[in-house]
Amino acid sequence: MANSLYDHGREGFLDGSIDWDTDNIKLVFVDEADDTIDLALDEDLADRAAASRVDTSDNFTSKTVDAGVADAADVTVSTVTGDEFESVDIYQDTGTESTSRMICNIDTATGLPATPNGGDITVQWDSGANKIFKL
Amino acid sequence: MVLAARIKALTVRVQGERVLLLHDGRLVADLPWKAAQALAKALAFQANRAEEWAKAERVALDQAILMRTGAPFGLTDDWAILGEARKLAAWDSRLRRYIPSIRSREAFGRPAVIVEEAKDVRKEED
Repeated sequence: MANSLYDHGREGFLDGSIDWDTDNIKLVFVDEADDTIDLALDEDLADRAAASRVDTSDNFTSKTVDAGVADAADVTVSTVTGDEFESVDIYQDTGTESTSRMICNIDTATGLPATPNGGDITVQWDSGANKIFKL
Repeated sequence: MVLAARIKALTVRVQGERVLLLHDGRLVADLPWKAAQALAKALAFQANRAEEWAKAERVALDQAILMRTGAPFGLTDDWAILGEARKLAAWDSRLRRYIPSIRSREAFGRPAVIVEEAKDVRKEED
């Protein structure tokens, strides 16, 4: 188990189709029991089964890219209900699932797996050197 | 295929220095013992190759596990199966997840997911 970039996410950073600090970036809580992740082939949000997506955040705010380190303000998703989720996907939101490119999957985090109880869920990013991730 | 379907009707007998192959009681081949030995070796070799193809997916996955772990030996010399094994070793998500020996260079922080208590609506109403 390891946090990983999707191959299409890496590709997006290299070909310029993902601009971390100007694009709309969101996260989605993923119930891995309802979808088998494929880091090499999952390209966009539509490749993650709808049933596996427990809840989605608003756009990240305060994003930074200094020294190749992706960071943003902590994210709170309000009144989350649904299945237990084992991982968090970060993706570039275009408003259309089939073009919203997957960036990374986080399955190793304090508090995972988590079970929604109707309350808010906050994802608090690491304040160390790597923040969310470092390319 | 005919041979495979009727394999039970095949009989192999020895007559002096010769090996006889009979099908339904009729003589199919009458071979000197050296030729019979060579034929048996060739059949066994080709049977092994046919088995390898029948189990190609499994062989490719096992080979990919060896490649992923860096074990320096091969299970097959078939280039097509080796090619598939190389692809699996590099890209198969299960192998990447559970045998992460080919590490990408990116680094992640360790976030925390904090589930807060649901607000008690009745208390708020009070």
